[in-house]
Amino acid sequence: MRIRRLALTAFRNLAPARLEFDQPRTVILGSNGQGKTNLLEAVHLLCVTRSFRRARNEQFVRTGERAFQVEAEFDSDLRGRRLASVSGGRGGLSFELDREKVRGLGSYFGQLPVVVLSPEQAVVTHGGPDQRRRYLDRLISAQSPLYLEALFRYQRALRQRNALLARGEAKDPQCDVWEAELARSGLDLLERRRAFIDDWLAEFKEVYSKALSQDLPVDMKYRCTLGTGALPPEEQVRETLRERRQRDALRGGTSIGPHRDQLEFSLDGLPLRDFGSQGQHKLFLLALILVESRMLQARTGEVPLLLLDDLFGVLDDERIRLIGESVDRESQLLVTTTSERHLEVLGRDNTQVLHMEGGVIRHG
Amino acid sequence: MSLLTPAMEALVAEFARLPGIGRKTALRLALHSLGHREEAAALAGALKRLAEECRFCKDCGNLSEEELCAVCSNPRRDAGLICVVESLPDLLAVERSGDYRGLYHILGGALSPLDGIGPRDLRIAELERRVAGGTVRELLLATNGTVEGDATALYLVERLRGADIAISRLARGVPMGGSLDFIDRLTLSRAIDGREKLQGPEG
Repeated sequence: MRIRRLALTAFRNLAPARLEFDQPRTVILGSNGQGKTNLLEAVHLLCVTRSFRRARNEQFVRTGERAFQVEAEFDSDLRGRRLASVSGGRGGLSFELDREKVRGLGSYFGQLPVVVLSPEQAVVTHGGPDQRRRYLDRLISAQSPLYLEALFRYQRALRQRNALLARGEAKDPQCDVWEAELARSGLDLLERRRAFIDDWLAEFKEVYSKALSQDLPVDMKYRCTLGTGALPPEEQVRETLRERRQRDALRGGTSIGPHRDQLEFSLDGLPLRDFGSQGQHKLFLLALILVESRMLQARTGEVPLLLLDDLFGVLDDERIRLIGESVDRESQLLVTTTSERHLEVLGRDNTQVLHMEGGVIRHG
Repeated sequence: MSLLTPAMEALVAEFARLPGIGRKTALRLALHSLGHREEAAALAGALKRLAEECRFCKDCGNLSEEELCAVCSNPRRDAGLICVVESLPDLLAVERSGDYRGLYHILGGALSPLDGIGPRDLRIAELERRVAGGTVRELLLATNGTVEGDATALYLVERLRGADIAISRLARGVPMGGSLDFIDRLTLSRAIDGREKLQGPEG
């Protein structure tokens, strides 16, 4: 999928604009705080129905205005020309696709595939194990509604068991039924996570070493609190949970299960989180995003649009050149940068430049 | 101080206690009642009758004006089969199917420690008593497909272990007559997961 035209009205700090995208790569150039990220956000909101930043609907509206509008024309790989728009403000958002009002975002979602790399995502490699677990859950849920359901059931049963233990009812036979659910959906989650991670890791290694031409060996390790090797039978998990009731009541939560498992990324045999440089983190993240893009492509049949926000800041010229060469073979690329030099390193072939200053966008 | 007359104020206060009704709507309803006095009198009569005459069936917990409800006292219903549901709307849904000839048991909710609902808050002891009575052959557990509904069903199975009866659980899957296009992805995935074999080697 490619974006062809974009029209903005009263979106964040951006001046009203009509933009055309006629190159595979668009570089949005400007100093900090001028509105570069807002432009990517507008595209993301239109395609994914939410921002990649934490934002309330009224924050999308330019100060002094009542509502914003973002409208775009896309070339879909499967369906040809498509028109999409989103407008709204405090009262909510409303979407249109091919001039028809969208009722129920379920059918809209996934029609205009986009992936984004923004500073907000740094927590996936920099943050604690819960951040990586959440990322993993999001990836698998996007592929399988059954996973999402098992996850929901698991989390619900977890809260129910914890509530029961918190009331000092560890001996209550009621504990059994929540533990039964934890064992059943927990093992379901584990089985699906394991199956997913194998394919994911293979794809990741391929992207990291081939597409991004990196030669350090990368790895992902899943540490399961229910033990390594073959998954234990349901009955055994229930037994383990039963044995831990007293201890769990004291510590104020359930101590084993997929909600406690850890996912670690490593580079050259060392944990990325502790030993990775800024540049290594960014490249790792970029590879994760590219894998996400490929998975999205496999599911939707469309090559997603790739939004890279503030990626180059910490990378050296050689890496930037590599990214420029590899990434836009995969997708249409919209990228922000503060530095004219990055643009020179990327090369001006197949590239259009948009200058951003105080919310005003100018074709370069 | 309220600008309304005491009678009006009292009515507004009563309406405002109803679920989903705020003071503004309550005032609108009260004014409407004032302008439609016959309707208002009929409503008052219906409420009075409900308060005085409506009870719950001593066996199943269904609405009733007698000791036993219309279902439990119907001799043509199969007293050996009891369908266990969470609430009255669930009973009505099963009844609408038109195919069910047994009796019911309304639990009055599902287990949920988060909401402070335990076994003693549900009509489980009453169910045990009915099962111990000896006429019951089979329980059909029709609690909701939620985590809480499933946990409640499992809890009942544990509680009734040892009773000499069959216990079954409502099946789930693709709605009949539903075109596959319109089924949500989850329902479809689940139906695929629990697919029925029509032919082929035993697995």
